[in-house]
Amino acid sequence: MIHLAGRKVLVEWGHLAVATLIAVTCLWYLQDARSASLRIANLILIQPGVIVAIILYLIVLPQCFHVFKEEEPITPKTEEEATKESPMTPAEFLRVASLAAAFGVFVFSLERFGFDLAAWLFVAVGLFICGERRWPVLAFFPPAFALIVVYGYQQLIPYPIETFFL
Amino acid sequence: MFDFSDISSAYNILTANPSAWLMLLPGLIIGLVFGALPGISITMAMALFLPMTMYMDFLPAIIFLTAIYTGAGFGGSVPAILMRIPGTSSAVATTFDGYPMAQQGRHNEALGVALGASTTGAMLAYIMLFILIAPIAKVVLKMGPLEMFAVAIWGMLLLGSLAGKYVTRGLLAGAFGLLMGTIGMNTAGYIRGTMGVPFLFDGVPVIPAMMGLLAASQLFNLVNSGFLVEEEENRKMNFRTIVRGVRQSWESPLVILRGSAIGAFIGAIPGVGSSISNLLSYSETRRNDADPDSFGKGNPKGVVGAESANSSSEGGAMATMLALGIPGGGATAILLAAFATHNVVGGPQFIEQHTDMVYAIIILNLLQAALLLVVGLGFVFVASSIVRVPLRYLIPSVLVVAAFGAYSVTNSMAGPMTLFVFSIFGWALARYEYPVAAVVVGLLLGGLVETQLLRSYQVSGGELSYITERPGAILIIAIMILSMGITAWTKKKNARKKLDALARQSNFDEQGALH
Repeated sequence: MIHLAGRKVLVEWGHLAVATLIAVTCLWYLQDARSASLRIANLILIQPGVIVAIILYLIVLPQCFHVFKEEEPITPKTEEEATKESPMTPAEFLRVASLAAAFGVFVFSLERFGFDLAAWLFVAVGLFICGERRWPVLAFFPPAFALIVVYGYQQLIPYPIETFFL
Repeated sequence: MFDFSDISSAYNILTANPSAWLMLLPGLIIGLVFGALPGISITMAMALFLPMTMYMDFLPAIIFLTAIYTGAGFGGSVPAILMRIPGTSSAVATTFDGYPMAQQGRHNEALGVALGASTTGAMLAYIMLFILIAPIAKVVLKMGPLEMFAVAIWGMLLLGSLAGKYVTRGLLAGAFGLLMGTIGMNTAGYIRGTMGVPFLFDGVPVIPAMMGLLAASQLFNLVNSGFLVEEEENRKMNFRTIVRGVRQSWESPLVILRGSAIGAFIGAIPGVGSSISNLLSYSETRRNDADPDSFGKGNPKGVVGAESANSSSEGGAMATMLALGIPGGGATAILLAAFATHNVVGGPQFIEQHTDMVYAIIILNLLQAALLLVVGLGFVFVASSIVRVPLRYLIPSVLVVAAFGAYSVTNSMAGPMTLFVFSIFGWALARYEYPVAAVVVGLLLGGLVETQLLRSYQVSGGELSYITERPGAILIIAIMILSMGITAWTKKKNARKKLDALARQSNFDEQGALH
C-alpha cells in the first residue's frame, strides 16, 4: 500500500511484474529482431505485433493499481475484492514454490543423474511436499514408478535416454 | 453429386478382405491409449506403427492406421477433461468447460458428453464429406496466403473474447504468444530472439510449451488440494452417468451440427484447421447460447461445441489429404506416406481417377467413428478412475510423465527445459487471470501467421489494393468483423440486462423496507 496525493493506492505487485515482464520481453524481442535486419521480410509481423502488445500493456497497467480514499478502511476482504486474487496463505505459497523449485532441479538433473534416478528422487520429494509422510510409501512408490515410466518410454520412443540404473 | 457405381465399387473394396477388419479394434484401442498419454501425440503413435503396416496389404494397413488416427483424436480429450492437459492443440477448447466439470465431480458426465459429441460430430463430418468432397477440394485449392492469414487472425482474435473476464488481458496474452511463435528462423531466413540457444533456431518447442502452460502450471496450484475432485461422493465412477452424458450431448443437435460443419470446412485448411476449428465452434456455441456467462464454468455445451469440431476437423484434414495430396498435419502426413508405400498417391488426379477408393476411405472412417462410441465407453470408464487417485501421487507422477513426454517430442533437453519455463510462466499468468490458452494458440500460429503475411506481401508487391482481388479473404474478414461485432453487442446487451435486473431488485428492496 502506498500513499499518493491524499489517496491510498493498493498495488498488485505480482500482476505488475507479470505484465511488465511481458512488455519488456516484447521490447527486447523487437530490438533483437531489428538488430538482425530492418527489412520488411523480417519485421512484417514482429514490429506491428510489439506495438499492439505495448498498447495493450498500457491499457492493462492501470488494472494493477487500486485507488482508495485516504479515510477508507482497507481490510483483507476489501483487498481481495479489489485485486480478485485467489487467497493463498504463506504456507500454501511455500508449498507451490517448493514444488516448482523441485521440478526445476529435476528437469536440469535429468541428463546429469539419468532419467531413472532423477525421476525417483523427484517423485519422492514431490510426494513429501504434497503431504505424504508414510515412509513405506516414500520408500517404495518412487522407485517403482520411475522404473515403470523409464521402461515404458524406452520401449515407446525410438531413441535412447540417459539412465543411471536401467 | 456422386456416382453410385463408385459407391458400389467402394463397397466391393471394403468387403474384399473381411479379415482386414480385425485390425480395426486394436487400432482404435492403440489410438485411444496413446492419445490419452501426455506427450505421446497422434503423430508419434502413427509413426511408431507405420513400419508394421508396410508388411500388410493396403486395406488392413489403412484400416489399422486410420483407426489409430480416429482413436487418438478422441483419446486426447480424456486428459484435457480430467487433468487440463490437452493431448493436442485441437483439444484446447475442451479444457475450458471439461476441466471445470471434472472439478465439480461431473467427470463421468463430461467424458460421456465429449464421447457423444466427438463420435457424432465425426460421423456427420464424414457424411458431409461424402457428399461435398469435390466442391470442398475446389474451395481449398483457391485458398491463398491472404485467406490463410485472415483465418489465423480470426482464431487469434476470438481468444480475446473467449476465455477470462478481461478482454485486454486476453489480447495481450494472445499477442505475446503470437510473437513467441515467431522466435527462430523465419521463412525469409532471418534469425531472431534465439539468445544464441541452438534449439530455438527452429522456434519454441510448441508441445512442451503447451504442456507447461496448461498442465504443469495447473498442477502447481493443486498442491494444496487432496483430490482432483474435492467432495468424496463426487468421485464415483459411474457407467450410467457416462452413457447419460452421451445422450446429453445429443440434446444439443444444433451445436453438434454447427461444430461438425465448422470442423469439416476449417479442418480442411492445411496447417490451421484443427487448432482453430475447436475454438471457433466453442466461441459460436457460447455466443449463441442464452447463458453465455455459464461457459468456462462447466457448461456441457462448451464440451459439445469443442469436441464436435475437433473430431470433424479430422475429416476435413482427410479431405485435403485425399483431394489435394496436402497433409494438414503430422498425422495425415504419415497416412499419406502409408498410402504412398502401397502406390496410392493423393491429389486432384487421385480423386478423379479413384473416386471409389476415396469413398471407401470415407465409409471406413464413418464406421470407425461409430465403433469408437462403443469402445470409447469402456475406455473412458477406466480412465475416469484417475479422480480417485490422491493428488499427492498424481502431481509428481504427471509432472514426471510430462517431462518424459516433452523429451520424447524434441529428442533433447530442449523439451523438458521449455516445459519448466512455461509451467512457471503459465502459473503466474493464471494467477492474474490471463487466459493461458491465448498464449498457447498464439505460439501455435505465430510462425504460420508470419509466413502467410509475408507471402501475401510478396504476391501483392506491397499493394493494399490486392485485397480487392481476393473475394475469399474479404468474405472471411467480413464474417470475422460481423462475428466479433455480434459478440461485443451481445455482451453489452447482457451487461445492460444485468444492470436493469439489479436496479429493479434494489427498487424492490427499497419499497419493501419502506413498507
